[in-house]
Amino acid sequence: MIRVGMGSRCPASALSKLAVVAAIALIALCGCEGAGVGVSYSAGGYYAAPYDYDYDYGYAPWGPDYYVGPPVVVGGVVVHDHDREHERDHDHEHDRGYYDGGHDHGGNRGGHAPHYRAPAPSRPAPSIPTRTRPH
Amino acid sequence: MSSCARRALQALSFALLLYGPAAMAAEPAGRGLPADLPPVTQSGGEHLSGKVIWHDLITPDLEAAKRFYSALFGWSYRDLSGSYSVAYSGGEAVGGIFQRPLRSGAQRQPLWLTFIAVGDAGQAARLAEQNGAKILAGPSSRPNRGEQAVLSDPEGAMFGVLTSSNGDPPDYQADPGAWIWSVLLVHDSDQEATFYQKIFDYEVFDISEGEPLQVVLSSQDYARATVRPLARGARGRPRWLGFVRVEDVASAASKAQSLGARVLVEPRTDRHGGRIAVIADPAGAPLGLMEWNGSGSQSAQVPK
Repeated sequence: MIRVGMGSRCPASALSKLAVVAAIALIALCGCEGAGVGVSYSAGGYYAAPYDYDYDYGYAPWGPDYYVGPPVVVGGVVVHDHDREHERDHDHEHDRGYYDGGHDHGGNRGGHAPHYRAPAPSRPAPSIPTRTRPH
Repeated sequence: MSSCARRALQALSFALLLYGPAAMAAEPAGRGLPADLPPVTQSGGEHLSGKVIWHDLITPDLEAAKRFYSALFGWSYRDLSGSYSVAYSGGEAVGGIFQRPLRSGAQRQPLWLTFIAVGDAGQAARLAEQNGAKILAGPSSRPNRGEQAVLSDPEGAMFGVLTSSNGDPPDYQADPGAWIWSVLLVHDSDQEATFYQKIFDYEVFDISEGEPLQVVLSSQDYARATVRPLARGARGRPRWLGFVRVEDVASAASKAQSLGARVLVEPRTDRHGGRIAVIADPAGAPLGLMEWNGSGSQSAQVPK
């Protein structure tokens, strides 16, 4: 305990505690972002949120048929792997082998109906915008 | 003043001296982010919910990032403050670059943050939260830009929602140097597609050729993004990954390397017939490169 006054006792340990408390209060006032316990919503602090990822790229080798791009649609039909038709069966094996199989409740359908609302089967998948921007 | 009071003041001064800089370093973020951000497009009008309309790079060195992307894509910039610049490609805004020192401690990785258009960012954030997302920042409004919030989806992939104040960029084919595509790499593509459908009312098309499930998220009759499982063995968290259109992926990847980037996924042919690659810029932020031949591959428009 700290008592201020003539003749009061003021142990060093109490002063140490005061310094620690002051430091904690200071850090708290500064937003605590470094401690990961708060997000500033002030006009200048929008990006105080911890947007950066753990340092881990997570790009394990992509198999030969690990596709991420947009579908190619011709006449309303999605063209799959159009330049390697003859390897289709082989490709499927590759694709199965290169997905995150450790979480197969949905990544792998397993014959189950999806949880999302599917469009009518007759409705074709669209492509990306192809209209040219006027210059 | 008593000796004890003096000692207390000395202790407080010592604490300020010792911890003050540390506290400042721990929270440098946001300082300098302009309150008045420019609109995402000058030519907007229509709101295109579900469309990826903006990207912000959060990086520790603004000037280095500007040099890299200018050399690689030919981007130009408008500096809004000492820590935030808007990047332009062919006169069109393509994103923002925000300088934010990485947090100390564990190694961190800068990233490009993907913003998706929505009619009401606040409502979307609340709906996302009710469906398993976390709100990381906002919703907050900024003059000219609109209302935005930053979220992490149920699997932890970070993304933003943005209600643009003057509408969204029209649906034109992306020119080289502009963002052309987005992919969401996750553990469970079914559950994640379901989540995003609830927030953005996407149509979800199964484009799998077997297993695993791969889907395309669509709005306004345009494909907006692919959702697919992470590659096996991937250690990273689920994430959004944006692709910039380039004329030649191989030469772009090579040039990126010469500028200090790392090639994470070597150039390869993707389902659309063009090549893609994934790089990490010199600060470590991943992004994709994609060729697009520009041929008419759009489906016939089907009235809803």
